[in-house]
Amino acid sequence: MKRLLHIALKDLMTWLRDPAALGVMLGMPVILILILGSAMGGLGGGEAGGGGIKVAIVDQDEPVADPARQELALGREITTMLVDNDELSSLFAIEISEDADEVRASVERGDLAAALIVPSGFSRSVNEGQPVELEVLRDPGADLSAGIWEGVVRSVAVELSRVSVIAQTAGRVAGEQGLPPEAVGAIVGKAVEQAAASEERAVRVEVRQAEREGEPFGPLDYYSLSMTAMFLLFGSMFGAFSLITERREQTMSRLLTTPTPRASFIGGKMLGIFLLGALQFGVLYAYTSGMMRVDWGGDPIATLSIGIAELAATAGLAVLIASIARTERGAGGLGPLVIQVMALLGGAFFPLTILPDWLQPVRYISVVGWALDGFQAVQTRGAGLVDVIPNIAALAGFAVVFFGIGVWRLKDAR
Amino acid sequence: MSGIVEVNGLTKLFGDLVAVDHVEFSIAQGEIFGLLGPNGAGKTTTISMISGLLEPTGGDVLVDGHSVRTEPRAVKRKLGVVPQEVALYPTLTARENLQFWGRMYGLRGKELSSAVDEALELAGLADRARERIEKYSGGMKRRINIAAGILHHPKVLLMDEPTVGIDPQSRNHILEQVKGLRGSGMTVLYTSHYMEEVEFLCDRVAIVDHGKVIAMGTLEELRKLVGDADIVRIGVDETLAEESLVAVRAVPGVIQAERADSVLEALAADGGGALAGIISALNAAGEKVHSAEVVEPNLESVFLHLTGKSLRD
Ligand SMILES: Nc1ncnc2c1ncn2[C@@H]1O[C@H](COP(=O)(O)OP(=O)(O)O)[C@@H](O)[C@H]1O
Ligand SMILES: [Mg+2]
Repeated sequence: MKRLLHIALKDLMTWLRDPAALGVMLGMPVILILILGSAMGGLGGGEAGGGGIKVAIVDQDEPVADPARQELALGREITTMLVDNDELSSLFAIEISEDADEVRASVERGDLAAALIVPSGFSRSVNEGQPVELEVLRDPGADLSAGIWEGVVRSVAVELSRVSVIAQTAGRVAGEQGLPPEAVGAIVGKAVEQAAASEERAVRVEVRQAEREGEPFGPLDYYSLSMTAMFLLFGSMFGAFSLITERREQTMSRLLTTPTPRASFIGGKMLGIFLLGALQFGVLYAYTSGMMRVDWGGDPIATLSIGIAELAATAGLAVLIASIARTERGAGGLGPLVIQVMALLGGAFFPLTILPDWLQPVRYISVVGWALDGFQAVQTRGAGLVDVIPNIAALAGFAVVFFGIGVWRLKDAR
Repeated sequence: MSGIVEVNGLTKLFGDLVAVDHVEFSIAQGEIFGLLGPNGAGKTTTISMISGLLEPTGGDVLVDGHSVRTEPRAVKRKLGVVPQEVALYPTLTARENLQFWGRMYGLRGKELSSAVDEALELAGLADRARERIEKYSGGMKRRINIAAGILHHPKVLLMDEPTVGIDPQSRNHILEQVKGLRGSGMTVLYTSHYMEEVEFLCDRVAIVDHGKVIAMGTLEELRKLVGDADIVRIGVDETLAEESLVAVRAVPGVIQAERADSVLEALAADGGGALAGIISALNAAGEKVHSAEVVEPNLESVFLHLTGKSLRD
């Protein structure tokens, strides 16, 4: 056991003296967080460019029959108004849903950037001149697009307020005067005038942010998590280098002539990669939360557990890369390739919510995807340790599979 | 037989190649035992099997009574190994390297730090102990390479060609250091293809070629194998014709003759007497003679006598 620890510490010391290793493990993620965090301004989680921002409308309103006029179905009108608007449809992909609970859950998960819920009895309340509320849900991770949606809904509410005031005024005046319908036109004109002047809004918009208080999340928050999830995996490349060098320079053979068991050697190499990654994780966490004011969420234990599980996968990947690449050059090519593909599929460079639904699950073939998903759940959705157990389990599964295949291949090659 | 190292019928096949072929020897406690043979003779393969790195195809090795096949860890606890290639961590300092290897051999705490100090002193590198060894010369690296296998005072030290490719000063330092181990109780198995080293260091020697032990004994015993014969060493052109070699072998008194690069070596009962005949035979064959000397019987002449080959190639 002591030998295992000393092998790990020896590796750690070697890496801490290697400017290239430190640059890749610490310098690159910090720089990329800064670049992506500012260049991708406004692109938070759950967002996308034209036509892609996912929002939903739930219309729970029941039409009321107004004897004075036709049927009043404001929920349906609002829906039509939003869906038929060309400008809106260029920006949003609007989904019409019946299930308010499901929509709330989707916003909380970040699958939807925002949603509008027209409550039951909305038309009746408007018709009776009662104050009413429209409910807007926002994903805190999708700051910009949710903001746009909220603005749109507010302007709809203003329109509605006017209509509401007009309708009330017109009805009242007509009833009092017993006037013929021709006169209503004049009355409406007057009412519109009054409505325009009215400070009071008959329809209020209530905005709810999913599960979260305080500052909304921005790109810096997103990329701090995603680059950490990506670069924790780079330990596998340096681990593979180290395994290959020990084999080529015959320090591994020499070690195996001492009373050190083979398992202690492998274990020591794994622990070394793990310690390097733990140090890296600590530095990135401290730097992003301390210097960049990034909020990692309310459950550091959950975040730490995800990081530890990812580092186990990193250590396993080192053995796998070493078993395939066989030379330092090979590992230097293969390692970054594997890591970048995983980062891309895992959403490290851009949020996967811009992909079509059927492609969303690609994140689950990526170590980075599982780690980032877990980090984000803690950050934006208030997830705790129990909620991220699937992520931890999946990462541990990757660790076992990578390590198993790697060791089997190395044994086979002897 | 009750040597501290017992090698019995040790055999290793690499595919069809018989790298080590039923090798047998026994080393007594405290002895410096030489394994002398040209490149490819199977020295490293033998050492690798003794140290548990390679599985023997056949035979076994007992170290202090423990079988390397069934109790490899018990064997490894008795050993110190100095590999043929320098196997150290270049970005660690000499001291850090020695500390690491000391720990791998099970040293801890005060015992470790005094062992490291002693090893650095012995290697003559105490004053440069804080330098990373990537900055060291080849000879200095070799000295640390040896120190790393020796610092824990193993019962049995295996040294595989520890002086290959270094400057004469470092080489002498190493040879003196190994010779200094005599009397310390440490048993040494020393492999080399330099017969001078083996003659200088070893109590007993096994001469190996093509995986087989072809002669074994004390220096005395081995020299007797060639009787009083001397080696006549002639500097010639590398283009020396085969017929000229045949002509030299036909000179009266010449037992054996072989060329390696630009040196022709002939084994002759009376070197001085045969010298003139050899030179005139070469002249008659139209070969140039650049130099000539007569060398007393040594392991080189034994090897030439037994194999018809020179050790140096
Ligand atoms: N791992 C190996 N695979 C195949 N052949 C090997 C291997 N190691 C050594 N050999 C061969 O075995 C023979 C003995 O090699 P070695 O023990 O290194 O000789 P020496 O150390 O005396 O120079 C050589 O012919 C060498 O090419
Ligand atoms: Mg060798």
